[in-house]
Amino acid sequence: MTDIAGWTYQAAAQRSLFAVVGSAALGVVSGLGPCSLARCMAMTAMTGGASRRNVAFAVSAYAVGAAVGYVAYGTIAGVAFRVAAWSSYSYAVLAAVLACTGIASLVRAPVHAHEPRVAPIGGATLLGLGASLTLSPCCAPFVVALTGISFGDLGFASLLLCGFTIGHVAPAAAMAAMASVGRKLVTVRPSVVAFVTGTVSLAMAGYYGLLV
Amino acid sequence: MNVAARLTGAVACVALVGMLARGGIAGAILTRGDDAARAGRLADASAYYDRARTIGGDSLDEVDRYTLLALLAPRGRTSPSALRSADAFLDADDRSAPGHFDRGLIEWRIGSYAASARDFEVAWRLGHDPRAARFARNALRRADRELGS
Repeated sequence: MTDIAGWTYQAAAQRSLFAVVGSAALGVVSGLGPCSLARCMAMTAMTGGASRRNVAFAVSAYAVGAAVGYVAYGTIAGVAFRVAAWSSYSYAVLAAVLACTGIASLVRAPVHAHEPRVAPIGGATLLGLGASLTLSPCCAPFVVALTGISFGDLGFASLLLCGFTIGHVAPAAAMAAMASVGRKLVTVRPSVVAFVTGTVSLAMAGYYGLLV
Repeated sequence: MNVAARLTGAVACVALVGMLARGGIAGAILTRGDDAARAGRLADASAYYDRARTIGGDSLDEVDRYTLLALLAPRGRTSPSALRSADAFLDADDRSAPGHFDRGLIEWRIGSYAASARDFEVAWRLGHDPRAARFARNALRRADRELGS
């Protein structure tokens, strides 16, 4: 991973377009980290049972939301560093919200299966934007480094961060697609789904709580 | 499953995952510490490194970070955890040249020049790094000067 990062930073410093490919690779690497699990879960919950076309729209909306957030870091001077300074508060809020939703899922296990037919596009966009606002330890070093290297060159910074976003949302998109197909093929008891969702939410709450 | 069983099961699963993923969690906390250090918040960085050490145990990664903080911090403000972490790491792996080199740097910042010279010398013997030999000579010279005064 260090090799990919080093290669990407070198390419970015030389303003090479290969840096966009490297940024996408860094996005995939950071998108597979534990920090991104909460986003993947949220996307999976949103798109479960929806049509393939609707899933594609929702994932695209999520990507657009995330791209807007990340590009904002790169183009508005100092935003990435300010957000990094506030990250303790955003992690605390995230941990509290995840803990509450986890406990709620465990306490109120649904009796009947609830299949959302349409994934909310606006919700997916907001999720992407919100995901980029909580700079996690998995993606923060890459975003800050790419922002720093391309500082002063708005177009190139936007290109790099869009490449990063494409890679970063790929794991969430893959999980959303798998969940959508999986829920049509296999029927899982709602109580099991609630238990898994609640447990993962609690685990993520603990994880973000430790990062505060 | 009733509510109590679900909650107990969930807490047990979270505890198990936490135990299994200790290394990854400690790594993420170290990254948070690095971010804080980069922003100039050295006290916060030290607190993150302490937390990572509590969760993941002593490793060369933590010792490296503490060493960097010790070098950045003003003289006399070196975190006591820095030397403790290096000691604990070297207790487990006494043949680590980078570990001895790091401890030598921390001891230098604390002002323990004789101990620093010993560690640099061991680092040089284990790793054949000429910088360690040069640092050992300098530390020995400072130790002699301290003794003389």
